[in-house]
Amino acid sequence: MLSGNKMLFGFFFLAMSLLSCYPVFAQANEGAKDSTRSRIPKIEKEKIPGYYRVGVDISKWVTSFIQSNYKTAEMQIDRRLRQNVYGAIEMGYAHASLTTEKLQYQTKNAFVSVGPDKTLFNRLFPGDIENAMVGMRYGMSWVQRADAQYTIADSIWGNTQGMVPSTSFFCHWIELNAGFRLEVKKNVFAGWNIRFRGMLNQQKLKELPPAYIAGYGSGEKPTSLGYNFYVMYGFGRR
Amino acid sequence: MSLSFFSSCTQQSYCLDVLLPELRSYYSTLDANGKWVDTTLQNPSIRFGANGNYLTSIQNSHGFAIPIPQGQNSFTIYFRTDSASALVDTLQIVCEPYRQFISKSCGYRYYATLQSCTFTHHQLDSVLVVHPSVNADITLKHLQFVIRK
Repeated sequence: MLSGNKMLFGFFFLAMSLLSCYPVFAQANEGAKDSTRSRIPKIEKEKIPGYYRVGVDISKWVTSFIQSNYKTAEMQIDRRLRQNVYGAIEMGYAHASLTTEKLQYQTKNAFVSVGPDKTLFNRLFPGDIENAMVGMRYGMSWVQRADAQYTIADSIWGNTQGMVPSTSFFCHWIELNAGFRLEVKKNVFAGWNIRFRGMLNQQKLKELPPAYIAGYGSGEKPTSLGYNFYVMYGFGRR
Repeated sequence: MSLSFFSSCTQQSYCLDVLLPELRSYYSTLDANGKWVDTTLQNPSIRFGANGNYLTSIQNSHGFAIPIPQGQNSFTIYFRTDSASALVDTLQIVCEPYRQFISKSCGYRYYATLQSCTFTHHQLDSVLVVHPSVNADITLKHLQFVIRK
C-alpha cells in the first residue's frame, strides 16, 4: 500500500499529467480552426450564456440493484462558466451495511463535491456542447454509523461479543476526473467519466469504515477509482 | 460482463490475520551466583482455556505461547515442569484488555496489558512480567518463569 505522501504525490502527478494534456488538444484544434476559419463564426468573443445541465448517475441505480450491501444515488448539476470551463456540483447519498460473522454495522452518508470541468476541444459551431472533459473536485461527506456489533471467535477461552457505540464524522477528499459528454438528443446528454480520488483524512476511517461512501467508494481505502454514467437534461441559452 | 464490471470494485476481502494475540514465556533457573540462566525443560505442560481443558506440552522447550482470552480481566493457567509430576502450579494473571480494530474482514481483537501474576510455589521460584504489552508483536516474550532446581 502506498504511504500518504506517495499517494498525494501520485495524485498530483496525475493531475498535472491530465492538465498538461490540454495544450496538446488545444493546439490540435487550433490547426483545425485555422483551416476552417471562414466557416466558423467568431465565437470567442461571444458573451458566455448560462446553460445548465441536471442529471442523474444511472450506473448507481444498476450497482444498487446488483449489490446487496449498499444503495446509493448520485446527481450532478453543471453550468458553463467560461468558454471552455464548466462549474459542477455533485451530490448524493448512500446507505451501506456490513454483515459478516465478525462485524455487523450500518452507515449512511450524504456528500457534496464541487469543482471545475475543462473541455478539451473547441466548439465546432455555436451551441455545440458535446465535448471531452477533465476536471477536479473537492468532495466532502457526512457519515453516520449506527451501533456496531462484533464477535471474536475463540474456541479456547470462549467467544466474545460486544458493541461499539454509534458515531458520526466528516470526511473529505480530492479527485480528478475525465470523460465525455454527448448530446444524444436536443438538450439531452449522456456521458461517462472515470474518477481517481484521494481521501484527505483517512484517519477518520481507520476504525469501522463504511462499506461504501457515496461519491467516494469503499471507505477502507485511502484512494479509490470510480466511474459515473450520467444522463442529463440541459436548459438555458446555448 | 458489464454486470461484473459494475460489481468488480466491491469484492469482499478475506481475513488473513487469523491468530489471536499470544502470551509468550521463557524458562530460566537461578545459578550458584544467583543469576538467571535460560533453561530447557524436558517435558513441561500447560493447561489453559475456559475450563482448563486445553493442554499444550512441547518436549525440550525453552518456553511456551498461549492465546490470551479476549476481553477478560484475568485468567488462570496451570503449569507443570514435568508432565509426569503430580505437582501443578496455578498462575492467576491479571491484565487490562483493550480493543483494537484490525480490518473489516478480521473485525476486532483484544490486546492486553499485564498487571500482575500470582502463583503457587510448588515448582516455581518466581514469575516475572518482562514485557507487559500483549499485542500483535510476535517477537516479545512477556513472562519469565524461574524454575526451582
